[in-house]
Amino acid sequence: MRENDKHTITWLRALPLAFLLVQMLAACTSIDCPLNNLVKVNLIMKNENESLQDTITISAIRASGNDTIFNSGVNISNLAIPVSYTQEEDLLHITLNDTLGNTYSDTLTIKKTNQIHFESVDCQPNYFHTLTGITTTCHAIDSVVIKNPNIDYDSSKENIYIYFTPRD
Amino acid sequence: MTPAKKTYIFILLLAISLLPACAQKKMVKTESVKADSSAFISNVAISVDLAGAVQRWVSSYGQYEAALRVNIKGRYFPIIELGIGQADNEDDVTNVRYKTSAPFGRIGIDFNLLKNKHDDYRLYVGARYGYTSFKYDIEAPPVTDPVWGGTATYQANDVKCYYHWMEAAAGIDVKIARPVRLGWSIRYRKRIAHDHNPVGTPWYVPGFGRGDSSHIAGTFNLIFEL
Repeated sequence: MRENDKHTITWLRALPLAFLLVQMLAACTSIDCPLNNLVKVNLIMKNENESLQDTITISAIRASGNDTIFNSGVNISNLAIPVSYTQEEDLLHITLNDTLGNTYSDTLTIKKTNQIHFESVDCQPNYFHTLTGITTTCHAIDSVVIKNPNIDYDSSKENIYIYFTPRD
Repeated sequence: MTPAKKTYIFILLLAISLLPACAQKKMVKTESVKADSSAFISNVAISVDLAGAVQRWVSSYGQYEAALRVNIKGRYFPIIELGIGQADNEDDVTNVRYKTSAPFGRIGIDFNLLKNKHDDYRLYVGARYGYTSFKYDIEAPPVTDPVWGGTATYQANDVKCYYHWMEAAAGIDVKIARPVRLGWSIRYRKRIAHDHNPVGTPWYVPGFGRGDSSHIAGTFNLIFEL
């Protein structure tokens, strides 16, 4: 055996232990779940001002009755609202109270598809969605537009623009 | 103790038990100064990966893998590796279960770096190309919707994916007693192309293992050189 090969063999014997060390380090458990694991639809309020001056309350219309999911917010420019896991459409009851004591109510219907989302077995089950349509009654709201149909962990997406009717 | 830890302790004990045996092996006493007169194809070797099999045995994932390797003049070793990767894991907190079982294949070549290529020892570096096409199942107990009420099923069956990847390999093997050899290899795996279903990222990919786009893995090979 040549001298060079002897040196090679010497450190070759340490290689399996190095391999084991690397493998044991790699075996350390890591949680693969994203820090933001909330899936919400982002509603962007559009009117003549930067934000909505009226007090806004949003309720989920459920078969068992309405459930308030956002209560009495003022100067709201956008809202992230939870969407249902597997319903084909979600109904939102939007109530506006202006400074003169008037109340306006609209019902927003959000149609969507539902896709189970798998990140890892460590992560809580979740669902992503794609918006397929949106309609509204028109008491305080003038119109609604789907800006970005994809609802997922990305909270920066502007999903729906809600244009409010200007009032004198 | 987790199943993964059991695997590595088992492999560690195996390694320690083998090291003295390797150390006792006599090196080739003389080296040839004559021109290389060995045959173009010196021999063919069949091997199995014991590490992957033990991993599958004691943990929720692993692979059964065998390889066919050709020895070209003691220097070049083209190799084909075929196997079946399996995973069946349910998290005890989330109760989410991931299950797959599919074949995979790799093809590549190793180079013996030792100057004395007819030594009982061999030191390899090499590369592999790997591919698998597989389906996986996900299931969990029905999920309660905290805002909108009711429960939702969380299940997906036969989710199709494929993976292409490259591996950089380094390893050694040593003749124990003809025709038996034992060896190790360390692999750096890098995904080069894939198709994920919209459902999400596969938890385990047959032949590639766990990890997103790259990771380090290894094999412990029992080799029969014919």
